[in-house]
Amino acid sequence: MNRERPTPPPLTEAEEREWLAQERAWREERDGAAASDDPALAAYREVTRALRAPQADGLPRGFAATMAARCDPAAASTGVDTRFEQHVQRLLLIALAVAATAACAVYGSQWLRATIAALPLLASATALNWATALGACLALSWSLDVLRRRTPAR
Amino acid sequence: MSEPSPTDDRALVTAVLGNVPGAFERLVRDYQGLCWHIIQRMVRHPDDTRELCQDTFLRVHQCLHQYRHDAALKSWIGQVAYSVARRHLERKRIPLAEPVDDEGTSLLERIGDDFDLEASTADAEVSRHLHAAIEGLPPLQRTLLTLYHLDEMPIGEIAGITGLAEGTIKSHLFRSRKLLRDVLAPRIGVAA
Repeated sequence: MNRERPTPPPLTEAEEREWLAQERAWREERDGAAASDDPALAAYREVTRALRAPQADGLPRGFAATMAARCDPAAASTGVDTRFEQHVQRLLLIALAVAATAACAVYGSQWLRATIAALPLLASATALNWATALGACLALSWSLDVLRRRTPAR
Repeated sequence: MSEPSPTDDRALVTAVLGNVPGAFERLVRDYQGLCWHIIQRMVRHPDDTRELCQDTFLRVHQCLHQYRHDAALKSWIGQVAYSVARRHLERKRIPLAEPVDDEGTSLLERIGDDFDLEASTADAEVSRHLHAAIEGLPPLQRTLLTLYHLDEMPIGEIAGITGLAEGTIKSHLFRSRKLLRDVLAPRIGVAA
């Protein structure tokens, strides 16, 4: 349908002359020249004036910022608040790592003994079912994430 | 908007691809007007236009690494906007352009349907009808006229955006402007 673009015939000699008149009217209107006495030229200037009338811009205020945030969240998140958050996040991660190391040092031997004692239970059918369910959950979550990344945001 | 040089284009594209903060926002701000003109003239529906403008810039962001600087960035982005709008029209089964006979009569008849020149006495009224006539043109002709007159793009650049031959664009421009002038002719006494 739209692929079959109708091609208008090339301009005849007379049409070429009229094309030049159209172009003259367009230039005169653009340059703000005085009104023409020639009615044909005046008509084309009227047409040109209508074609040059600015269109109402219906884009919402802040469209560029919104698009930038949608397309590039990393680049958009560079405000002072975000830098503060990143700093706090780094401190919290360090605190978490220190706490985890201390907990391992204090309770590590007990956890190791409990884990070794629980190993025979893993061979049961129930444990296998739970492991399958856990694997399915992880696979589903990963697939949904991949799908979300491939679908363009709207 | 002042015309960005190829060096400006290159710097802006490099900045966007390098995730420089604010670069993509600047790109959108620089070219949102052009996209709005193209898409609005093609689809005419404000909500669709807004949505398609968003789609255009999402696509620009996804594909900017494919831009090879062989044309102005403005033309490349215009081309994306044009193809997004064209696909929208295809989905809605709206013809992009109508067959034009030598006299453009089918268009003139359709444009003239809602046009009462006898009642048009004031200049403002004539202007309003002229705008209605422009709106009555098929999407392709409307868009070509807007790019040429409002965005002041040369025919070669419009050819880059639309993929049409320069002669075809010139012919469309000529016939559309003649048609619009013919709409005015009875009032200002020009032989149509």
